[in-house]
Amino acid sequence: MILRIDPGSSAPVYRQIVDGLRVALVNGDLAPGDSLPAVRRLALDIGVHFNTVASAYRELAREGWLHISARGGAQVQRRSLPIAAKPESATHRRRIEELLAHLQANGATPSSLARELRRMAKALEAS
Amino acid sequence: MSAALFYISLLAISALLHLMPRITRPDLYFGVTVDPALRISASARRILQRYRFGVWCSTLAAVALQMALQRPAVSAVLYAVGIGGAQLAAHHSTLAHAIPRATAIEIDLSAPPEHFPGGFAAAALPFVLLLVLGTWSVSHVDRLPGRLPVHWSFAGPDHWVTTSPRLIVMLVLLHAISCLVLMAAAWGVLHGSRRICASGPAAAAERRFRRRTLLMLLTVAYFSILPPALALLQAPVIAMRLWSAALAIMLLGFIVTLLRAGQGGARLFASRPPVGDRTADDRWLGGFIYINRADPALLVEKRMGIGWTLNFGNPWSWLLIAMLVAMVPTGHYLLR
Repeated sequence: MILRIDPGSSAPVYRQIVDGLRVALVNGDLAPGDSLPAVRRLALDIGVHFNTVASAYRELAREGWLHISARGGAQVQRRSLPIAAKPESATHRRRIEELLAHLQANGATPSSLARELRRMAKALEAS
Repeated sequence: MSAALFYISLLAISALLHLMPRITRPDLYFGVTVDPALRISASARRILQRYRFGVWCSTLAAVALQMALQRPAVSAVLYAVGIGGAQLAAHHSTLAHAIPRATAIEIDLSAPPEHFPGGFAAAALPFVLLLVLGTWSVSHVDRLPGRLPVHWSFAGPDHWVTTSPRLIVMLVLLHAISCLVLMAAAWGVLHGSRRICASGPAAAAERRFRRRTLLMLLTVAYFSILPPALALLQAPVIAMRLWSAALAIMLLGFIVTLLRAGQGGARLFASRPPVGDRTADDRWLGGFIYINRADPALLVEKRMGIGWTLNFGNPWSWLLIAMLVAMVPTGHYLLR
């Protein structure tokens, strides 16, 4: 499983690590029991301070995805889905609109985004 | 004999420097991030020709000076200035062809973990052997000769010290420190340096290159504990000569293997690696010295030559240098 990080991007590296790992966890690319690289190893490979990676791991641990050992290792754990209080489609729509606006501001064309959204919708319906 | 050794060393270093631009990563040329296609262009060949001309002119000048003056230190300084100048000039000419490095990084989360060859036991064994040797020698100090050799030349031992329990402890301690420095270097390569290629044959080649380097450092660490053992066990002079020859052959074998693999194993695979080595050009001084306080790496791949170099922006690197520099006067003081 490949994690892609771009330190030159406008998004903070910490956010990229959290988002990249969460996508892999939700998609099942990382399964319960899988080990993630140690904090120091990942920080070295990306070229950021150890705290950046440690904070990202801690956020995912708070969400229930990871178990962090005392030595800085992290392991994927089985996570029970949080029970939503009620459907919040307005909130979801707002977040998707914000993301689409951000991508368009960075040069993505509406047609390419629409194509990608259709592909993702199909994959979601099939899952 | 020492003059012949001086000439052979100069020629060997010059031959290595002659080959050096061919063994770096294909997207780095004289310490600058470039398009790999640049290497086969006419301008790159011109830069290479001028660099090699500078290297061999410096070699000839150093040899001539040594023949005329018989002052190796003066010749060595002239040689260092000459080759340093040739490399800096080549680096400066290549800057005109620099391209932006790839900032996107890929990390293989399922990459197999890398371990020290032989694990903790292999790393600890030389220290245990030195401890056993020191303990045995101190408890049997009356059976040892009155003087112990602590330095050798080709002709045999050339520096002796009076045997005493203190001297034995110092001798063993010094070799334990040199062994520790080698182990620290191996640790730095394994845990303090960055993986450049994420997956596929490039990553496998990089792992193989790293493992060979670790094996070399571990073997040299084991070799480094033999001189005190030979001295304390009163081995004949031939044993030390055999040790020198075996060390030279072993090092030559490792160097040839690493040169054939190229920097980071770059010559072991055909696919194109990521552009650059994940360090910024503007953090390198002349393509030699890397200073980046924001980079947590202790060691980074050399841009010119083979192996790793220190990140001088990391405070630990200064501690390592201080240890290395302090070793020589400390050795002289302790073994006086």
